[in-house]
Amino acid sequence: MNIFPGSKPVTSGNYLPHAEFPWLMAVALVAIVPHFPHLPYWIITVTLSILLYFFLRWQQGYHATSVWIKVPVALCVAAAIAIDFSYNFQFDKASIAALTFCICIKLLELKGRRDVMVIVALGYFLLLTHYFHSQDFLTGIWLFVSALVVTSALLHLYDDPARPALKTLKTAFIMLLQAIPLALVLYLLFPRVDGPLWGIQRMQSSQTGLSGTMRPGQISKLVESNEIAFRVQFQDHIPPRRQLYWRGPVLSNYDGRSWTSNDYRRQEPSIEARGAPARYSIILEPHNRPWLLPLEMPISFSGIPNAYFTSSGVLQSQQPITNRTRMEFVSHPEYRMDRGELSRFARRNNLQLPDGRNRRSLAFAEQLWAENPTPEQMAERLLRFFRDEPFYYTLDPPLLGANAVDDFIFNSRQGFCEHYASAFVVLMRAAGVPTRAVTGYLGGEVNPVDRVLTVRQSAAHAWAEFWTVENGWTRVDPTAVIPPERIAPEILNQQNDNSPELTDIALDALNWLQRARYYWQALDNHWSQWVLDYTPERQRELLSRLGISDLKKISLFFAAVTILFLILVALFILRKQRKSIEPAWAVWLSACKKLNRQGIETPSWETPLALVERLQTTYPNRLELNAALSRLARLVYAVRYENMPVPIRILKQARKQLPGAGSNA
Amino acid sequence: MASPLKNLIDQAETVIFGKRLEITLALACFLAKGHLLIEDLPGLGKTTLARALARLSGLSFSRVQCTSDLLPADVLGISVYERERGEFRFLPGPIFSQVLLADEINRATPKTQSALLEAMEELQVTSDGETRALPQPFFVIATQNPAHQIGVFPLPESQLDRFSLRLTLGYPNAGAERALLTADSSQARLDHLEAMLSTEEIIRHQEASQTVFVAPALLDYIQAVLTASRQNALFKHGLSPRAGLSMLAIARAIAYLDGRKAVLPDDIQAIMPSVACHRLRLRQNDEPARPEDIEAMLRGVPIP
Repeated sequence: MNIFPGSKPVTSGNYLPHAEFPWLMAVALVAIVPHFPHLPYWIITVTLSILLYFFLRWQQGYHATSVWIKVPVALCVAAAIAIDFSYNFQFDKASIAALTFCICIKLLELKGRRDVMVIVALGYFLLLTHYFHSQDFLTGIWLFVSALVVTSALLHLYDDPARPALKTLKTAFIMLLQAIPLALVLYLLFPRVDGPLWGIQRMQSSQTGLSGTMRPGQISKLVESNEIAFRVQFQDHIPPRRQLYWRGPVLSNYDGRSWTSNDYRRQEPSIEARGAPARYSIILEPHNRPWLLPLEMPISFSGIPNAYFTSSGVLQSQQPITNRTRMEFVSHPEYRMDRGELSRFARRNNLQLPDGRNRRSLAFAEQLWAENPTPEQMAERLLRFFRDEPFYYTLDPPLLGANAVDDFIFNSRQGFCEHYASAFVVLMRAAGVPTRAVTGYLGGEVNPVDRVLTVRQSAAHAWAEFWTVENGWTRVDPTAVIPPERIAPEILNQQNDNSPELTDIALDALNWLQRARYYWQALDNHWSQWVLDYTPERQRELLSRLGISDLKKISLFFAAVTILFLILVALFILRKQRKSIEPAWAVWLSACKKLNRQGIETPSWETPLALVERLQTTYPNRLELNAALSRLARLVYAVRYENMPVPIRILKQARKQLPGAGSNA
Repeated sequence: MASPLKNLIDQAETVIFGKRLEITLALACFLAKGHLLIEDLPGLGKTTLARALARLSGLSFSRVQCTSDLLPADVLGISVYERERGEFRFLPGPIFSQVLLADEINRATPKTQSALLEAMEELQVTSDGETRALPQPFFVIATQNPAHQIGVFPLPESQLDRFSLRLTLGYPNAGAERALLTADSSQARLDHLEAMLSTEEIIRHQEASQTVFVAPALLDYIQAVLTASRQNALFKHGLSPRAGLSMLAIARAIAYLDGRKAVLPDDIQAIMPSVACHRLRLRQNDEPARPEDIEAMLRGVPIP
């Protein structure tokens, strides 16, 4: 008989209130929806159908779905996942697909609280896997909100079902906030893993970036991507846009179709700095290639232990960049490189042309060289040629034939930067001037909020360098001479975003949307700089600043502290429990349990003596039990109510004398 | 120590047959310095019980038969002018005795009822600006007919709370009934009784009974029972703190009468119907709570 009607919610047992269902649905949705862009269509369809089916089932009074439906569906989906993902061993993607399916099908077999715990645990785990796709600030916020939903679902399970959802959310929010200090401590002090977490690298290996070769159409494809290539923070002023050439791979080898690099020699180029230096740091997004993309031309750098220059002045690291990497540079936008003398290898390499191709261009170059017999004049003449003739700068140029440069110069006259750089280098080489193509990035966008320069893939560019005895390698950007009316509007728009002086965007002059965009970018930038870029090196640096040099020792120390803390908490809880149940009463309660096992009820409101009397009347034949229980009850009374010093040992002995379940005679 | 009290109960049982538990409770109420309300139909031995207790404990006894024309002065006393001496003289009313039987208290008017109950609570009477202490010990036994008879003024809850204990004697069982029929008249039996205690001894027992040990766990239990009575949807109101004090005092007295030095949870459960029934009213029909309601409430409170 429940004499407190409605005063206590039912929170015990395995009973699962239907009020929990909307929460479970929400958990499934927040856990799987962000995966949809990365999952095949069929699995999205399957999961959404299951969710819809669950919703309908729940509206009509829920019953767990029959095994005869669940098992075949599960087997089919497992087989489909195995087939769909097996061709290139995408184990990580396959497991995410499988988990997405699991959390949905679990909704069809809810029988009790246990099943809810499974869904909540799966939900938390799936949240973690969102980081495989993206780690930016927005994902962080989304995960916080998702964790809020999953935690609320868990809270709601143990709460009064009638409690409003908003209150549950509020409690969960407070709990998550309370967890933040611990998360911070773990984040700062837990040993960092060198390299990406399993899965993340492969999931993100589709990153775009300079490929190290140059073919018609390759860079223009890259330009369509809005992904961030790297961010730059200048220490003082930002150089003007016309100087912001970020140097990537230098390509000297031409086979008539694509440009490749054949320069593997480590050799520091001789750089003669002129003008003021620019000091800056670059946070490079992982691109799976070794080059580091500094501003032309770097004279010193730090942050990458094993970086080196190739002989053509490309700064590379020994391993491909697979993590977000931060480096410090000092560059001189005005410089002279490799003055005076060029090695035989370099000369031959930078005059090489494929045999028997582009004959018309070669003849044309010889003709121009006759009129302009110095390299500078020749370069000047070529630029004038591109400017004056109807050359167009466009993102989708027509396809070119076997004699690509001939086709471009005399027929199509439409191209992207790689066409111009390629044509320029071929013509210069035909005239006998050592010339090479350089790929990299041009410009960038400055955020007026934090003055961080963001360079996106859309800023990918190609230009050329020719060599003279007096000046060394001189940069020439043939696309820069195309007048605006012959530039495709989409390219022009992109460039218009950046006025020639990059720094003069006044925040006040922008509308609120643009301003908000800049603030958001600044926030995202801080996120990647301070949260994502917390590498093992930075951790070591922080720890050494705290006076801790050995990470292994500190790990052990923290493990010890944590274990000690947990033991203390456990002891505290145990002691509290012991205080609340005094030993004599604990003996009595355990004796009651012993009786319960024999089918004798011991209601908590019944006094021990009343119980003894009741048993004596209901089981008059069980003399042994009655005698032992009566003795124990008297002892318990003596200790608990009469303040008599009876040793607990005697009580325990009396309890032992209670006949067990076996002796029902 | 307790054995003279046991003898006293034995003796009382020779007058009121088969009501040992009620006699014990009544005596416990006396030891706990409480007052007793007996609710019953007429002729079930309420008066006999009161007289027996008074006689056996050697205390002065008086009786007031309450009627609707009974005035406060009839109970408390009155000042009369004595011409010979030229001054007022206070003639104490029946309340100036150690055991007062207020028969059928619900037939008195509320004015008289409250005068009586105030005196009972404060152990003094104020009349004509003069305060007179009542004799010690002072024990009121009020009897009441069940309220649904005509021409009664049922005691309000605030007054009921002043009675520590309420008893119903009920009909005697067959054996007791037979004994009643064959024995001498009750008056004759009362005359046989002799005082077994002096006033000093009574006061000593009263004090000694209240030193009985109560384990902290049982104080918790009393508190839990009080809380349960307040939270239980069965009842209109919960038990008052005064009810808790009565519970404690009477449980001690019961243990003392049983010759024990400590209160047991069984004591508290045993006295609960007598302590709580008259103080609680059912939400359902506004009737006084029945012993089974109290038992239902106790089933929600685990023994600590």
